[in-house]
Amino acid sequence: MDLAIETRALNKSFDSFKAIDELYLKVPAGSIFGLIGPNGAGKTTLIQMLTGIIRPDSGEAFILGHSIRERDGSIRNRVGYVPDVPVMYPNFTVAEMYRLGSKLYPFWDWERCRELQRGFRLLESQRIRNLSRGQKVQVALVMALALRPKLLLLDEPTAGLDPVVRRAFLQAIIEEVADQGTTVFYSSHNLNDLEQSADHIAAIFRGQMLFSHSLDRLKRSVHRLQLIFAKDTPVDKIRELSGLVDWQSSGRVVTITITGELNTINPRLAVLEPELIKELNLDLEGIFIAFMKSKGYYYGSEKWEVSTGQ
Amino acid sequence: MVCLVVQKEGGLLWLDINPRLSTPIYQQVVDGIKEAVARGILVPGERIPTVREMAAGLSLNPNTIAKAYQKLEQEGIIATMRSRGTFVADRSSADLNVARKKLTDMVEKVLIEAYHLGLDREAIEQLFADSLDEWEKRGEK
Repeated sequence: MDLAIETRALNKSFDSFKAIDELYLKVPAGSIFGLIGPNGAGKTTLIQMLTGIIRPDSGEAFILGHSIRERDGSIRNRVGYVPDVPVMYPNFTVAEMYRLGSKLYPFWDWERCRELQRGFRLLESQRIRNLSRGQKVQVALVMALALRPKLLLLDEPTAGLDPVVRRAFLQAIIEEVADQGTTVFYSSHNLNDLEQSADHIAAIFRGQMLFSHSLDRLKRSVHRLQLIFAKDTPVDKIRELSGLVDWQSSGRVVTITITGELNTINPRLAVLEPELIKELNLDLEGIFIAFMKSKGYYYGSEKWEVSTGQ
Repeated sequence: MVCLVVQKEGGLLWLDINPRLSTPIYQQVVDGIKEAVARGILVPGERIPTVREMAAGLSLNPNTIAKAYQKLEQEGIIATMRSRGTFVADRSSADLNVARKKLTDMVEKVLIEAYHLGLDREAIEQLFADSLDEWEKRGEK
């Protein structure tokens, strides 16, 4: 498997705060790879280390086969980066930003630039300081694609975009992947966007990897099942189930979120002799929230318990 | 919910894809196209959208669509002719035997599930009859 990004035991602390903690990550070339995690999980820190903006304390990271510690930074000519808050010269016009890009990047493609510019309908004569955050993100994306990237690093790109532009943004990325085989690595809190466009998902929490799977595999390996019992629910046995991520019970009904293949889970549940086992739909958001809850990250004082036998 | 419309003479084909379902997206594409072929909405020799057209049209991941097409091709539902596009395949009797064997395996899985739920023969037959009725009713609409 060709890897566009690989990290090995990557570490980064800010003062005493461990932002990235022994992180291992593999991003296959040509994938649209979604990075999720709650606020403060280390997503931006990770992306900034990959771009070379900040340096890791220890560990290794490679982009397009080159170590991020390499002195020769020419590989970055093929990496497009859209930061969560785009930093651009406020007095430049949009057209001037593009001209700057064409001077900085040796593979700059004016035709691609104009095509995207037309698509997003940005005013070239507008000054950067008069643009909204969403418009700045669009300018940053046009530039990131016009430099003919082999790798796109996007940090929360769809936040602050209106639905029409968001859709156009996703479409531009998808066409880029279909036509050029570009690898896209993007962090987002919009799990619906990711569920639609990504083929791989990694979740990080407190700087550590929670899971990293293809989306298909993730969906096949996490299930939400409802069990209905004739009388008493065997709560103790349910809590001991290996792979249990989350469970809730009310009366005779128990809803569990559990990892594993369905055909191995079902026989283990059948032993508990429920009257009915029903699989409920579980989307990416549901998977994410269940995993977060199992790590103690949830809102309010909701009563819950979990076995950590993953 | 994302839908794909395939322009056809005298009609439109809708492919409903819901990325938020537990069923993986590639599987939904496979099922959608299989159903369209089974219902005769897509006929042998008919061109279907390319991976790129389908991915861009649905804003779905091209690798996911490619995986669905690969699967459909393995099962002999579609065939890709270089430079001409992807078409609904003619089905030879050999293909049908393979497909039949697969179907038998699937039914067996259902029967195992039914056993665990404690359904008896009569209940299982009723389940199949109900599903068949529902399927036929939907086809009439």
